[in-house]
Amino acid sequence: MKRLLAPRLLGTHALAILGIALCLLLSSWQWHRAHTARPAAASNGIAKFEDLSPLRAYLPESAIGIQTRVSGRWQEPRPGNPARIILRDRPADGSLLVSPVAGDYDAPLGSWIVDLLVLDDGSTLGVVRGWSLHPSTVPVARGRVTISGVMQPSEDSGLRKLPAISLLTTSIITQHAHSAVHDGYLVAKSSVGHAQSLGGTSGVTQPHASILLTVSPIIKGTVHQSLHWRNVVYTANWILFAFIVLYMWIRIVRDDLGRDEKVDELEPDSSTRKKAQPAQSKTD
Amino acid sequence: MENSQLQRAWTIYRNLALLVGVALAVLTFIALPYEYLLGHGKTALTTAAWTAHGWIFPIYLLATLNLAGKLKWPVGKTLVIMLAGTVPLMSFVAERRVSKEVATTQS
Repeated sequence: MKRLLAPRLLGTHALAILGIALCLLLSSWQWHRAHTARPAAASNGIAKFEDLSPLRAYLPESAIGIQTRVSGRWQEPRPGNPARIILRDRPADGSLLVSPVAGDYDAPLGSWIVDLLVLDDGSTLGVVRGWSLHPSTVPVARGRVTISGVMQPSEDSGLRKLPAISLLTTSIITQHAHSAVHDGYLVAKSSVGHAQSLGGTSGVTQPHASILLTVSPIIKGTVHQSLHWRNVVYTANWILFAFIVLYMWIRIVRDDLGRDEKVDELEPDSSTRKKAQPAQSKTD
Repeated sequence: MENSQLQRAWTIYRNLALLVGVALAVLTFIALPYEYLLGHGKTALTTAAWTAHGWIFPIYLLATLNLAGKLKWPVGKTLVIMLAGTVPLMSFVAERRVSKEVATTQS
């Protein structure tokens, strides 16, 4: 024990303990990474909105296309700020906006209607309420509401989209909002609430014209239930590295003690020392 | 007997050193530029390649450790040979030096 704590071994001990701690730390980091690339889905497959879209942060890639639910109050229109964004010349199926098959693009074009939802914490979220041929006939949304939908990234985030289409971006939403805005937007699938309708400006002339079709999101995400095997392997690697450091540590200490005994007593007696001896003579 | 054990440890080490060397070279000079310079990001193929390397590399370490025990290498030298497997193309250099050493030990 006294020999183990000899001053010249203290540096080795410190380095070894540091090395092992570092390896285990990196191992746990990889284990963490093996999991966090997908959001923690609740048992019913619906993730908590706060987990998907942290405020004042970019929408994480793993949040895209995951179903969620938000509650809030529709932003009231103000003079000069209609609180509504209308994106023209878009198909109802968002996925057609990204690299459509040539010649196969004959979906009817209408408008996406984006209203702003002020969430209970005061932040603002852009919500694609739906697709319509005649957006002016779609009533402005008002009142409290709880909406189910999926998150989509801001459309300036690197998607290769059809040319000459106005993009639905976080900055556009920010221009219309009165409070801090969530990155990306929500595509509503259903909503329950007490939305009162405010008649459209031109009145309803065609009975089916004001129908608001649910928009199919551009990026359809899936909740990955599998682990990221690359990170799982790296987790195991780091544990192995920790063991290698431990092994080296033991060897250094054993060799060192063996050398001590060679000097102290001329006759080594235990078998471990006999084993350590030839190793020493060769390494020195 | 001793000699054949050393022979076997050397063969295992040599094959793994070459495998790790080729794998790391491919990953460094093809997969990494493909992912980050050409901007394709992580693809299924490159991720599979990195994962495969993640399996091979620890086996290389164990093989090195095994050979180091047979050749009674000091700790420092063992670590250097192991770390050579993390530097692209360096494992080839290390393998040549080790093989030279083994050849002189045996003669």
